[in-house]
Amino acid sequence: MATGEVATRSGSSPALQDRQPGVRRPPVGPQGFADLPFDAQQLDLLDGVIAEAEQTTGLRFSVYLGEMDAGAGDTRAFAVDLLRGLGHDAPAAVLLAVSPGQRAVEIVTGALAARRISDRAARLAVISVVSSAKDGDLLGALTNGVRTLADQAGALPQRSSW
Amino acid sequence: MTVLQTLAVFVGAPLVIYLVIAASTLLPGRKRRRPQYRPGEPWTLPAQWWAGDQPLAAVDRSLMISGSEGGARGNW
Repeated sequence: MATGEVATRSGSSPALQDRQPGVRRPPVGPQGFADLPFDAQQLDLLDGVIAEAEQTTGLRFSVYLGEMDAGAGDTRAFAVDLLRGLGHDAPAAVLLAVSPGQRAVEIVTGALAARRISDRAARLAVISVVSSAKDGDLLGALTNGVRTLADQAGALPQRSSW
Repeated sequence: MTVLQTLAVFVGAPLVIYLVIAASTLLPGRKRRRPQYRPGEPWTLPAQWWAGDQPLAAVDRSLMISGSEGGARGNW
């Protein structure tokens, strides 16, 4: 079963039919943090940064950490596909994608978010991500990137959440 | 009860307990330390994708029809 596919109960999904022993399938349920890049406290920090950015700007912030299209290496197309995968929120979403293996940063802003965050402002966030990632500080790279983007987008007026 | 027995019970036993507790707090943390990322190393961990889960403030959907994605990219 490829990443992103969903097993349904209708029986049409091949994932439910080929139950052979010895086949490795994606794990189900809560997983440990042993093979993840961040521990629970760091994830909590990242979560808080994303939530704060969304609350102040009214945009959807999304962070991706991992390989971006390892085959062809077209990181931009991969990141744009990720952003479109957000569906209804995609036009108002900002995606910060970091691939430590490829040493690449991609920032994609949706059609509406691009009016709040210009490409020049996104480049500023890329610089702050790169400067942290160069030192091996991935959590700092992600949090600084999101904070910079949120700063550039500006805050919503108070009455928008009434 | 000899002097040796007294020493073993009131000095030796507490000492052993202290040492066992100290070892159990210090040793596993060292072993399970997360490997620090260094630039240039291959990335073998599974991909992670995070986003907020709160509904967004209402925006005018007519603004979203036109325009395309923007953004920037960089390498290190």
